[in-house]
Amino acid sequence: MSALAMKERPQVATAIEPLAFETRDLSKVFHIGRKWYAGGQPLRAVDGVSLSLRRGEVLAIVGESGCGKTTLSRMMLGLQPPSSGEIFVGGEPLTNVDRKVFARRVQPVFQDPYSSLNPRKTIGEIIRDPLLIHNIGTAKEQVAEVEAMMERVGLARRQIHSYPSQLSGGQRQRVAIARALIIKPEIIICDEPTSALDVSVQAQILNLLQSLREQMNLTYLFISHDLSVVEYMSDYVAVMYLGRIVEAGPTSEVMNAPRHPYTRALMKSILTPEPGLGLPDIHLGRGFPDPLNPPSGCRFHPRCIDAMDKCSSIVPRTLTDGEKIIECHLHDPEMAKA
Amino acid sequence: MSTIVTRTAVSGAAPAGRSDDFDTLAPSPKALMRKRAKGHVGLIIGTTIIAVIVLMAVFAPLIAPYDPYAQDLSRRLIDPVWGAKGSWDNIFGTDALGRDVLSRLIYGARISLLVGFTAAVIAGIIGTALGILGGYYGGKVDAFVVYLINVKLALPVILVALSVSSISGGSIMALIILLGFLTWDRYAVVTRSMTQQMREREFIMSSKAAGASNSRILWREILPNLMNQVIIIASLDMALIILVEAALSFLGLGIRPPTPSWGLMVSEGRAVMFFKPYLIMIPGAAIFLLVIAINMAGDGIRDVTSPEGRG
Repeated sequence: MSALAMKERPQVATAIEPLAFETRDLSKVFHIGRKWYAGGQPLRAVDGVSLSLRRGEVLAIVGESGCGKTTLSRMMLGLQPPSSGEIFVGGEPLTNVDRKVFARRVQPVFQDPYSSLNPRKTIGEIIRDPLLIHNIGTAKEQVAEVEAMMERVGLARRQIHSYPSQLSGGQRQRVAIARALIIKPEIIICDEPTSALDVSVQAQILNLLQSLREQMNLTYLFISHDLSVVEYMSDYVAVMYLGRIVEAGPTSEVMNAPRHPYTRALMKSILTPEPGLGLPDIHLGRGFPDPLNPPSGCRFHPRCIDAMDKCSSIVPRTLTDGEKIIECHLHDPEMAKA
Repeated sequence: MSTIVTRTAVSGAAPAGRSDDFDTLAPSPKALMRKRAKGHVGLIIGTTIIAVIVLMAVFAPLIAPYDPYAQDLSRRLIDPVWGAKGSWDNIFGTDALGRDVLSRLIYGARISLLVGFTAAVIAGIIGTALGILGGYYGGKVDAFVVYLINVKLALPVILVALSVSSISGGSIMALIILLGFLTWDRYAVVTRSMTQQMREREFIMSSKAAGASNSRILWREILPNLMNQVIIIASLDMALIILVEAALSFLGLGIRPPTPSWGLMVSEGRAVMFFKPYLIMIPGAAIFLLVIAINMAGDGIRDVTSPEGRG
């Protein structure tokens, strides 16, 4: 089984071990400038994304800003209803799962720890809140649980009465992680959990996430634009471009032998610590296309160095090869024939 | 202070002795607020004046030298103590019916504070509830709230207050409810836009993802973040309400005589204002003092709390 489930994927696989998380053909369309008298312009933020995640795996989604990563994560958290497509948690469709039951399975860690903690609450109150919502344990047990969780994520117990404004960015992110883990979910959706942090703190938070994963048998959906973070964290990676997944597969294969021209450009964009080399030339100069008016055919063709004539007219098919998928005419044997 | 107390309390409860238990902890927002409050002159002056007036109102029967209703036509229109024929018997003199002005002023503080405070609370509850609901739910709920705000803004406060109080007939209760219903718009406008901004913040998302109900989010996550602003608006609103009450009483449509009200006292002194100007100047000064004290305290609260309000 791959991190990515195709529609054709045999259902037997799910019968053996239910997937922790699955989306099928998920789309989200926003209507920009909609008024009651006019429909507005459709913006397809997420366009037919199918992916799946087994217990204990880490799936990373990478892509530029504006490619739909955050919208995808919001839908998978049940915070935004999808325009079409389905989400399954443990084999059950999300629409059938009660919000509270869902919350005990899936929890988020957000990007900005300065915005994800209520400034009027103490650290203890913030971490305890999910226990109160789900009415787990007595007051004493809840406080004990909060203290144990604070220790686990590397916060000092005396900080239980401090306010978020008294903590550093890294400490705040630890609080956000503690709040997510306190009700013992199976899946954590991390939306760029380190991108608002200092580089030195990033490593600490990533190590914390890794060790918590092993201790608590967690499944991560890890959203990032930082490829080195993805390489370090994930088992599978999916590359997203303008709302679609253009290439996916096991991290080592995608990172070492990228096939899609966009993935190749992304790999080139990783900065080396070597001074004097300058910025890498990645041939993506023409800028991110207007998502309100996406390019015809293959959405990547205006920026693609290998673009052919048919790329601007024919939408590429989704090709599956074992665990890997790709959407590109260069790798489509039928296109090569034509 | 409080950080030290907190720290000893925690380490006492959990003598774990962690290696990272170093002794510096940034001051808590509350401690910072207290520190700013101590250095804020306007806040100190404003709250002191308010405290004096409140104490005066609460202990009016003990402080007032005379019965505010007792008339003595043989001792009418006596000058205050600094006047030509003034005496220490009636420090602020007597009015046209021979009633002691100081006693009436002390009892009048009760009316001004009662009306101002209660009406501001009523307006605050109405306005904040509407603002939060509109800002949080958006869509049709918000459209309705915006419609109500616009209707309210189109109403001329004094004119409506005049016409309604002339029908309802001047009971204090009716006046309070009327003023409460006429001044909620500022709360609604401010809380609505603040809630709109907050709704997209990630701590609200986290709470939703944790399975919190909408009412829990409104009460526990959003409302505490609005309280500072609501208190500031309440102070401004209270000052406005006290002025409107005085104006209505002056026009004869607010508090009915012989109840002592500052606005009514100005109105009653009007007939002799060229001969005995103190009769309108003393209650006028009292109104001025209370309103400016409330405004100073409100500004002070804003200055002291807003650095946290940002976050």
